[in-house]
Amino acid sequence: MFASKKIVTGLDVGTSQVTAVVAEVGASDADVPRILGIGQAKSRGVRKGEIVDADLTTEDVRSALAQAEQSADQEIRSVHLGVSGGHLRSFVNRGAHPIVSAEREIAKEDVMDVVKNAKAVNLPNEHYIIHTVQQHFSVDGQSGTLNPVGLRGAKIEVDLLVIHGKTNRLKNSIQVVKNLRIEVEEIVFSGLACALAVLNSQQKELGTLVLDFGGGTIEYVVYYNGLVRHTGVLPVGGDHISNDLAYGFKVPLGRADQLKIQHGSALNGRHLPNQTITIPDLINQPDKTIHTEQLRHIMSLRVSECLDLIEKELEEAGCLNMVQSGVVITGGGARIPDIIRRVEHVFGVPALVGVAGNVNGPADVLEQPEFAVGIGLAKFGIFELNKQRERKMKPPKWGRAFRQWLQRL
Amino acid sequence: MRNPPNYFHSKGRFSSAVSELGGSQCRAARFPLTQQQSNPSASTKRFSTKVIGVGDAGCRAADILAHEALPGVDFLALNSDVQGLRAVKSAETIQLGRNLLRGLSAGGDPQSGRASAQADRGLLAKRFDGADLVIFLGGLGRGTASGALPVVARQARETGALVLSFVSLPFEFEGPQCRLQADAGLNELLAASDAVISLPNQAFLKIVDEQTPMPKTFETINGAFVQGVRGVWQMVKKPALIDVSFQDLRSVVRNKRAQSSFAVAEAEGENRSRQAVEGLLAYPLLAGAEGRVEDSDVLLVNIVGGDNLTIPEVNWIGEQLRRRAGKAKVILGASTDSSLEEKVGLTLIASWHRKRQATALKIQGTQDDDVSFSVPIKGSNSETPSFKQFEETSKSTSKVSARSPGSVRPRRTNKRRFKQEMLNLNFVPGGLFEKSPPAIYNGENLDVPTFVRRGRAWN
Repeated sequence: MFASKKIVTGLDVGTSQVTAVVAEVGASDADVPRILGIGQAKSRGVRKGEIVDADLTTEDVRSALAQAEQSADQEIRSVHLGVSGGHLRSFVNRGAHPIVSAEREIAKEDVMDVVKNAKAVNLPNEHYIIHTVQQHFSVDGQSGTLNPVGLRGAKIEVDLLVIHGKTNRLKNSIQVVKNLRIEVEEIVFSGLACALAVLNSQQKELGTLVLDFGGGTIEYVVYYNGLVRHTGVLPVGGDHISNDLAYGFKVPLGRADQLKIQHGSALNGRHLPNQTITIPDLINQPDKTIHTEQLRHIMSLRVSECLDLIEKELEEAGCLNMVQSGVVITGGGARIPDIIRRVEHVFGVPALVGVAGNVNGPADVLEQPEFAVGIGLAKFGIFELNKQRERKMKPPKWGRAFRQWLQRL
Repeated sequence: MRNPPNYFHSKGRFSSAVSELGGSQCRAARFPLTQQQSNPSASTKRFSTKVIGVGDAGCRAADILAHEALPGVDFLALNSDVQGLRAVKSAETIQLGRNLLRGLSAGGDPQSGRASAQADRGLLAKRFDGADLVIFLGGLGRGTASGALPVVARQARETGALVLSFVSLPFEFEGPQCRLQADAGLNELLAASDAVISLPNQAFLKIVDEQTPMPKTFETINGAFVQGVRGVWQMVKKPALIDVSFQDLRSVVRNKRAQSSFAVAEAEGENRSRQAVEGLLAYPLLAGAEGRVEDSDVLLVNIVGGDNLTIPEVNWIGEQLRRRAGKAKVILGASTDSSLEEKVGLTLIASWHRKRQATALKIQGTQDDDVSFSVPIKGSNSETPSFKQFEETSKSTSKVSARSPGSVRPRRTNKRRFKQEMLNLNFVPGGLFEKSPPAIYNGENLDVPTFVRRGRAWN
């Protein structure tokens, strides 16, 4: 039934939808990965990035994966799973190591030791480290070295960005996939996957903030000098806007959602006085008229609050001045009209909606901000696969010797 | 009248330096002298501290503290129950109400606790002489602490000492009677001591999980007691780089009838200051609605770090807390302690001055102690009556209606009816987010619509 190719699947269990992206691994590393198929389902069991109803979520994941299998004509055996939620945190841990050799020349072992020291992270038991991202080395306090082997110095230090979350909540999302008898290859912080999908190397170098404005959470990732410098999750998203509107106008949630999509904006509606929207056919109630200005007022307050909180968080982490090149917005929130102007206003740098790059596929998939995480997850999987392949290319020494011995016979 | 310290007169260098200064500066330079004359204990900065545990819980905590033997601190355990006193190993003990209760406990009755303390006033009178700071420890809700503690605290305060009371409030499962007694005791204590730091036991249930055995839970609570007392003592006692002195503490808590809470946190590693501040703000005593940092009037913060504590770190911590505190006055102290190594420890005392609208309440006492003073009533404090009211409600309602019109109770009910309550914003239904844990960020529930939290006008 299914043609067999080497494939990687990224599964993003988001608050508003579950997306599965199937991508084909190229024959060599240089080949750009190609997207074969996409599966999408409305997510019902996730709130603020965390699973609250495992059964419903399992159903949704099943239908998304089935759809992806159909459209890609491949059988999915394993996925790279995106995780998110307010419990994910990141911090920088520093490791140090003295150089003891007489020459004071830094050897490979010293570098391995300092990284090991930095990885000795003091975390409570119930926390699980999802990623560690190695930052620049500093030799005798002079920072900015990527490869210190061969340099001279008395002390070598390295910073490690540690992204961690609560083990139980991470296990929840893994269990949902396992219920379907599908392997989870790896869990990936979805903000990181998103950045991987939409950023090019120039943006990573110059300093860019990626905002994944999802339904229940906003993930943010700061890249600078080619490295991830800071990540975080704000457990507020598009659902909050709908909820605010539902509360403010006393309309059902579904209706509020509709209002948000049809009439919403990230800017306040001071220029629209007296413009009204009529909400028809509320059950057993007369038609209701609301002011566009009020709607935009509620919505813009929420959006700007979220952005302000992230800005404050980045400032506290000392990352705000790293965001020089711009802000890239993805996720459903990127569709809010005028969100770009609002973001530019808050961060003072140009903003744009992210488009997945360095990957082949139908343009209507790549350009959709909702798919960024899924594509990024698939890309992450391919990178991992390529790394494994590199390792396999070099057979162990004794193996080669054995083969030569065979040949001699 | 004491002579001023002689170096000001004997050494010409100093006196000439003083005379060279201008008039106003000269006065400023002499100012400390006049203070020293009036308050001899301050000149040496060796003030004496007494830690006094009252009742079973207080005695236990005092005993634990005494075991650590903080230098320059005297420990005393007061209890009417001989059995409880026998368990005290390290502190000095005094039996209360020897003639009244004959070595039995007050039996959960504050009246007999109060009576036993009053009967033994003479016994205790000399104990407070020369003390600058008296710290009382007790568990409110039962007999001895609720009844005797206010009496003893007032007695200590009359000698001129600064009186700080650390009291625990009962668990909810201990029942309404216990809570009423504790509230009444707390109200009296607020009037009798300079500052009351209360630890609701219920708050500790948040930090212990369901599997924690009972002794462990009580250990945690006792531990908090001990940490709090040690933190306060460290704050005023240890020499510091940026000093929070005894005078600072006094000015914060003195005569304000303030209710206070405290928090302690410790962290180490790269992000230690950040983690410590987070830990501090997440401390169970600050997490409740009662003890929010945002509403406090004064914050006293003491930072103790290892030898590598830096000014930027101190600055950052101060900045963070100031940002959180809003309009509160923040007093910051910092010191280093090489035994902490890489760690940084924070002690925070937050103080809420009770609101101005005070209602005169008559606290019933026996014999000569029948004094009337004003106890401030918070708007929502309808559940904190005095003992008198408590007794009456438990006896009969007919008696209440027979009271003269000028008495306290009817006035309070009137007031309550017209009280403009603070708008409780938590009534906003969770809507979509009812089932999931709230998104709390810096004490704000982000699930509540922004426009509600900001209180923007609709039209």
